[in-house]
Amino acid sequence: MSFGTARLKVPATARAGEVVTIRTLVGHPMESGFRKGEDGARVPRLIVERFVCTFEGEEVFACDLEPAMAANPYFEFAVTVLRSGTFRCTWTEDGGATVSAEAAITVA
Amino acid sequence: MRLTRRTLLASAAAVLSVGRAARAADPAARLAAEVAAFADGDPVETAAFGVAIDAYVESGYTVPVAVAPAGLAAGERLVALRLFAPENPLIRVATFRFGAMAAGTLATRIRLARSQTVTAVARTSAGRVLRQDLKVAVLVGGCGFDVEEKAG
Repeated sequence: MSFGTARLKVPATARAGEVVTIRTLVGHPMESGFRKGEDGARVPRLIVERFVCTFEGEEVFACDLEPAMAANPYFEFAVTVLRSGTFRCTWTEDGGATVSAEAAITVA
Repeated sequence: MRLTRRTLLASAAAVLSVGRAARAADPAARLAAEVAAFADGDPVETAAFGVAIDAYVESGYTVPVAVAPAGLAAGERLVALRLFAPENPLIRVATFRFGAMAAGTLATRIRLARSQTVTAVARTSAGRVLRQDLKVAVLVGGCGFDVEEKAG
């Protein structure tokens, strides 16, 4: 497993109906499988192949990644929030290893 | 045709070379096939729907991509988005899905092996399929992607 720190940034509070920006970043080399190592041999592919963000179980944003995504995959996306709850992000690597991050938002 | 060792070897070689030709099909044909697969039979409209990539980037290792949906009808939103880089070893870059809560804006970073035209296709909640092409000049190719052999 090649995961580094998983980060999820969500505003702590918002008004109902407000569009908030969510930012996520996970440390990962995203080894493309096309690169050659020091010894001239191809470094085997090992990438984050899937990212999912849910809010109280409902899918908000998802991505199927290919080797052409940059190392340390970064996603920033906007969400309309209507009620308080918890955002949960999960990154899945080739082979099935995962890391997750959670952040709660309070809607006034 | 009688099945001899010679004819068998010749036909095996022919099959191999056809396979190689199909894999090395020109990027334009591969892109057309990929776009058609995404559209799934629906007409594809060419429209600037809000994808932005700088025309000149220094490093192909991290190329910022921004999406701010534009030119959609009131209440219409993006539900799926796929990026293609025809000059990369693998044409697909990523597929994004936007849930009902998502506004459709996006910022992320991709890799480009060399200067090329990136194609973005999207499906909207109204069922329309949109396509936008973005020409990007890359100074330094991304992450070992500039190997001479091509795969896939």
